[in-house]
Amino acid sequence: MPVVEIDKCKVRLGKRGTGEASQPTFLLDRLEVDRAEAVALTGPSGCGKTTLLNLVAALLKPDSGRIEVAGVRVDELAAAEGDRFRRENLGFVYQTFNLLAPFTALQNVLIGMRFGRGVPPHLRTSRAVELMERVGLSHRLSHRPDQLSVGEQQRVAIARALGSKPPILLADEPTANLDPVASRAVTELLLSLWREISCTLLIVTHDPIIASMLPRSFDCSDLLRQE
Amino acid sequence: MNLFQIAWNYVWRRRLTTSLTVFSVAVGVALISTVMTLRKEANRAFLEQSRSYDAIVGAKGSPLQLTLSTIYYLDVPTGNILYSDYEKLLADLRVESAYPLGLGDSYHGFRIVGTSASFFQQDRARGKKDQKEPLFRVANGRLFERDMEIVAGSFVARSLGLALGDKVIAAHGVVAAHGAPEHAASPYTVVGILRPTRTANDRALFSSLRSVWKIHGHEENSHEEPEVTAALIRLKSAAHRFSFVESVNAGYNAMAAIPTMEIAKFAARVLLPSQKILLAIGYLVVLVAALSILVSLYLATAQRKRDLAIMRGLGASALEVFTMVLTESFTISGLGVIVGVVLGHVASSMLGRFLYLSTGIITNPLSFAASEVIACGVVFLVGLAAGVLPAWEAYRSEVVEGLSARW
Repeated sequence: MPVVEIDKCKVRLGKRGTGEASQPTFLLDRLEVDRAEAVALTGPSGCGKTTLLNLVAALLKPDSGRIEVAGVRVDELAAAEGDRFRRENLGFVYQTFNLLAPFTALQNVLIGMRFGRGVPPHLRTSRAVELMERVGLSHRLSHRPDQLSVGEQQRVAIARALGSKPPILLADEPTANLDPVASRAVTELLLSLWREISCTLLIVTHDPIIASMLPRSFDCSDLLRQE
Repeated sequence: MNLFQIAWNYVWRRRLTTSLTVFSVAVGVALISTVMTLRKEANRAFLEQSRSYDAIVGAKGSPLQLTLSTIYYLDVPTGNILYSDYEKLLADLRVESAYPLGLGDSYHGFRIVGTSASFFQQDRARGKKDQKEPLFRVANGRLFERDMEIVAGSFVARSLGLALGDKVIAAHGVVAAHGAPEHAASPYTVVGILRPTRTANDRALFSSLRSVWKIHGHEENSHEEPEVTAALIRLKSAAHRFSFVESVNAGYNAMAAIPTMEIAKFAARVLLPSQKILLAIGYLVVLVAALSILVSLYLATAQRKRDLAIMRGLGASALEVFTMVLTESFTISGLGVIVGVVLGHVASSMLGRFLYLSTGIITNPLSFAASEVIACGVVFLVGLAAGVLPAWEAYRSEVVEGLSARW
């Protein structure tokens, strides 16, 4: 049973009504991702990988077509429903880590859980500490992002994404800012956590080595066209 | 972490800007708080004292001058009236009590008041008939009994370090003047020190009328009729006030004034306009402070558009982001109001001391006027409202836009 199902999806990108002659259009005929599957979304920069992820996350609405994620028609969600959907179903790992600078590593994980809905308040701190241990950063709990290496920052971001036990984890170029050794380590960490918690994992990457580490790849090369 | 803790972290992160904004709110609130506290307390004290008497009878002149010079010892007296007129007042059936005052001398700027022993029998301002409380109590020594004995008000005694047995040489004139002639040949002896009354009486010294007459060369067997400066009148019923004043003004070579009316007119003409100007300045400062909250939060929100988008991406609802930014303005304006109220009451305490030194009126700096509480509420709401625009901006910002083109 697919947890992500995209059917005949079309999105005109760029600002509407600007009168631009040529606007890129995202076209995807069909994509299915099964529950607990790990898929690499590959392709060169600007091919539409992130647009695909935004559609799955209900951050972008298609002009036509059907997108169903975790049993929810995300293409039909209103803004507030989209907030609730993301809160209950998704974890995010960003290319630029997107940690909140004023907060410590532990607080970043706690904030993720505060806005997510998977963990009761009295269990959050213990779970956050546990996750930080799991990503190998138990000694960095009270460090702020600017006191961590880029690899460590990405580990904190992974811990934060998993804090609320999301059924689907989305990672957008999580290794793009890391050196090859750190890239491999972070990908291995993601895959090991994926196996442990049996979530569905979608990783956007343009790195064929990283893509090859995942059980399945989906080529996004031809998703964006000029119309 | 709850929303307040997250918001506080951002407030703390820009603590210099926050402190300046809080300070600007606090200055406005302090100004408002000080004016309102002192207004309430000064009005209370002024009116309380003016309510002590139904009328004051003195030489013809300004009724306000008569009131200020006899109840508050502030202005120069309007002149003197004949003692026989005072005796006629005592005989008036409408009069419950009439306290004579003989003013004219001072000691180091504090007025010497010649009066009768009955003056010390009076109760505090009326209105609480069932809870009568004596106005005067002796702290040390006793009241005057013989000529040239004097009793010092609490503030006078403390200020000048007067003790029982000390000699007091009166200077001619009710205000301190360098080179004023002194009655060195007839010194008073301090026989008592009064407890604080929280009225202008704390700033005066009291002796018998006979002593005042004696010091001015008026002998007991003289053919010249003695005089008093004024008489403080308590009537058997307040309903007699106007008829009493009318009869005094028509039948005596004197004038009667109703102190509550004079003080109310004085407050309306002199005190109120100046208080209004100060309050207007206070509200202007608050308005500027509210603008600074708006600017500071607006810039802070713009600077962390990405952070807010990240939170939205983590699952924060638009309403939660709105609430968080509003929590910051809540914190800033709340802190501003709290700091302002504290500063305002500290300033009230300092200015109250000045008021006491100049008028003898004791104000309570810890007193809260209802108008002050309302004003603080309004300031708080204005500060909170200043956060609505930035909060709205945060509320309607797009997550994808906030995270820029890429996540």
